[in-house]
Amino acid sequence: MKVSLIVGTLLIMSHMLQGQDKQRDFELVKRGLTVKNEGAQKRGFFLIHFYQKHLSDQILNDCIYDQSCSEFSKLSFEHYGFFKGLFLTADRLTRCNRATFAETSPALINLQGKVIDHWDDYQ
Amino acid sequence: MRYCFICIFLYGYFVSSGQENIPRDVLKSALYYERLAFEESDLSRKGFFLLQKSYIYKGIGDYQSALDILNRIKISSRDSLNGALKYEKILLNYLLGNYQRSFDELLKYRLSQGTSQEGVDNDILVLEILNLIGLNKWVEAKELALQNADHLSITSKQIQEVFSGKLKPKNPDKAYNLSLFLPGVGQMYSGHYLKGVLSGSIQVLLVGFSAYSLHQGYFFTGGMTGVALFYTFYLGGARNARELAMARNKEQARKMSSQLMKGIK
Amino acid sequence: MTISKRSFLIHISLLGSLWSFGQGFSDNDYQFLLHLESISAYDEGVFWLEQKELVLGRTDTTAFHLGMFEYFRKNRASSIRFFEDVNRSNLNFWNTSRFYSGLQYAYLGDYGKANQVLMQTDSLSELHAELRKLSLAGLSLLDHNFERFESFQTSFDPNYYQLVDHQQALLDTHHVMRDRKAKSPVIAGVLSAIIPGGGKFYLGKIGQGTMSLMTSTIFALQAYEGYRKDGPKSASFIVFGSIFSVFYVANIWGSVVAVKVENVNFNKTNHDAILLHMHIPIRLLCK
Repeated sequence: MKVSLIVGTLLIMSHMLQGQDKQRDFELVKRGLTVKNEGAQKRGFFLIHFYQKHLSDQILNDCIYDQSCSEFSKLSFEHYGFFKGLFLTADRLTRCNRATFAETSPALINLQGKVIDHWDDYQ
Repeated sequence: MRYCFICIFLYGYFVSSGQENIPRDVLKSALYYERLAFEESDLSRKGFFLLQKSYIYKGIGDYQSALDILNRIKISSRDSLNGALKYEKILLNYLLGNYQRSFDELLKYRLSQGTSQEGVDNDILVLEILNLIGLNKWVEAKELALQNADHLSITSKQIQEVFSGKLKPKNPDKAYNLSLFLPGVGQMYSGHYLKGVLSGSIQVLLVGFSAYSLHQGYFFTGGMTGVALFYTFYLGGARNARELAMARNKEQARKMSSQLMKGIK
Repeated sequence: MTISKRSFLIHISLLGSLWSFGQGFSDNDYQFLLHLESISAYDEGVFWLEQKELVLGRTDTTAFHLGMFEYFRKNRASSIRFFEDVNRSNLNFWNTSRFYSGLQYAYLGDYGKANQVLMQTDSLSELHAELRKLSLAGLSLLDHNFERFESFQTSFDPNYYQLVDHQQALLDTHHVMRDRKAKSPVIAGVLSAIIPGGGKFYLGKIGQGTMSLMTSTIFALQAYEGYRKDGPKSASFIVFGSIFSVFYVANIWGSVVAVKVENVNFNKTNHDAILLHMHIPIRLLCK
C-alpha cells in the first residue's frame, strides 16, 4: 500500500518536472511552427477542382452554405448522375444569395454563420 | 436578457457536442493539484499548485485550459512565483498565436523586473524575438537578435541567414489598392505571379467580351454576362490580393521563426 | 531554492491527500465537488467521482453529480444512466435529476420516456409544479399531441415571472404548428412552371422566389437577344438557351423538392424552439 502511494506521488512529480523544463517549451514552439502537408486531391471532376483551386477565391461572392456550392455540385454529380446533379446544382446556385440567408431560420445556421444544407438532403 | 440566454443556449447546446478524451493520468495529476490548491489557504502556495496544474495541461497541448488556470492565480506582486507565472503567460499566449497579448505580458514582465540590466533572461529574449516576428516587425527582431547574439549561443552569421530575405512585410491594403488600380498587380506584389496573370487575363477577356458585345448591339449579353462577371472578378481579385499578402506575411514569419529555433537548438 | 522547498512541501501534502482518499465522502469532499463545478472542470469532476465510487460504491451524491457533470459535457445518454441511480431519499437530488433526465430524453427524441420520468417528480413546490406542467406541455407539443397541450395550456399560471415568457413562447409555437397548412408539391411545381420562382412565392419565400425569377429572366433575355439578332442556329442562342432551360427545369425541380425540405426544416425549427423554452427554465430553477 505504502509503496504504491509513493510510486503514485513520484509519477505526479514527474509531470511537474516535465512542465518546468524550458527546453521542452521550445519543443512546443517548434511543433507549432511546422506545417502538415495536405493529402493529394482525388482525380476526376477536373473543372470543379480547377474552379475550387484557382477561381473560387477570385470572385467576390462568398457561398452562404457550409457545404460550398462547388462541393455540393461535385457530390451531387457523383451520387445522383448527370441530370439530377445538373439540376440540383442549378437550383443550388439560384438559392446561394443573401435573400435566402435572410429567410433561413436561425436553427439551420451553424456556428460559422453558414447555412446547413447538404447534398444528401435531396434524395 | 432573454435573447442573451437564447444565444448562449443555441451556441452552447445545440451545435457543439462531443469532446476529446483527456488521458487518465493527466486528469489524475491535475485533480491532485486542484485539490491541494483548494485546501490550501496560503495564496502563494495555492498559486504554486495551480501553476503545476497548468504545466500538466500545457504538456498535453491544451494551451487555452492552461492559460485559464493561470488566470485564476492571485498572488502578491512581490511573490517569488511571479517570474515563472509571467513567463508562462508569455509562452502560452505566444503558442496560442496571440502575439500582441504575449508582447504586452512581456512588457509587464520587463516593468516588474525594474531597471536592473544584469542577467538577460534567454528564454524571455527568444520569446520576444519570436513575438516581434509574429507581429511582422522583422527589422526590430533582427536588431534585437544581433544585439544579443552571444546570449543566444548563435552566431551573427546565422542570424543574417535567418533574416536573409526582404525584411519589409507586404502591406495588405497596398495589395488591395494595386489590384483596383491595375487588376492582377496586387497578386504579383504579394508574390503570386501566376495568380496575378490569371486574374488579370480573366478580367481583360471579360472587358473585351463586354465591349465587343455592346459594340455589336448585344446589350443584354454584354451587360448581364460581361459586365456582371467583370465586376465580381474585379472586386474579388482585389480582395484575393489582400488575403494573399496576409498569407505571405504569415508564411514568411513562420519560416523565419522556424529557422531561428533551429539555430538556437 | 524556494522551488525545491515547495516541492518538498507538496510531497508531504500529496501523501496526506492520498491517505485521505480512502476515507468516506467528507464535507470537505463535497465542497471540493462544488468547487469543481464552479470552475467548469467537468472532465476532472467525472474522473474524481468515478475514483470515489471505486472506494465508496455508488451513493446518491456521486450518482447525481456524475449525471450533472455528464449533462454539462453534453453526454446525454450517459447522464441519464447516472440519474437513474439517484434515490428518492434526497428529494432535491431526486426532483432535479428527474427534470434533467426528462429534458435529455426530449433532446434524444424519446418523448414517452421523458414524460414518464417527469411524472416521477414528487412533493414539488408550487413553482416547480408549474415548471413540470410547462415541461409536460412542451413534450406534448414535441409529440404533436395538440389536445394534450391544450389541456395543460388552459391551466398555465401566469404569476411566475421565471416562466411566463416561456409559456407564451410555447403558446406561440403551438399556434404556428396548428395553423400551418400542408403545402402541395404539385401546386409548387405548376406555379414554378408558369412563372419561375412561383413555387417559392407559394412557400412564402419571397426573396428566393425573386432571385429565381431574376436568374431565369437574365438568361432568357440573353437567349432572346441571340435569337432575334442571329436566328435559332446561332451559338449565342444555343448557349444561353440551354443555360436558361437548365435553370428553368431546376427551378421547377427545386420548388418541388423545397416543399419536402421545408416540412423537415419547419419541424426542426419548432422543435428546437420548444426544447429551448423547456431548457432555460429548468436550467434556471433546478440546481
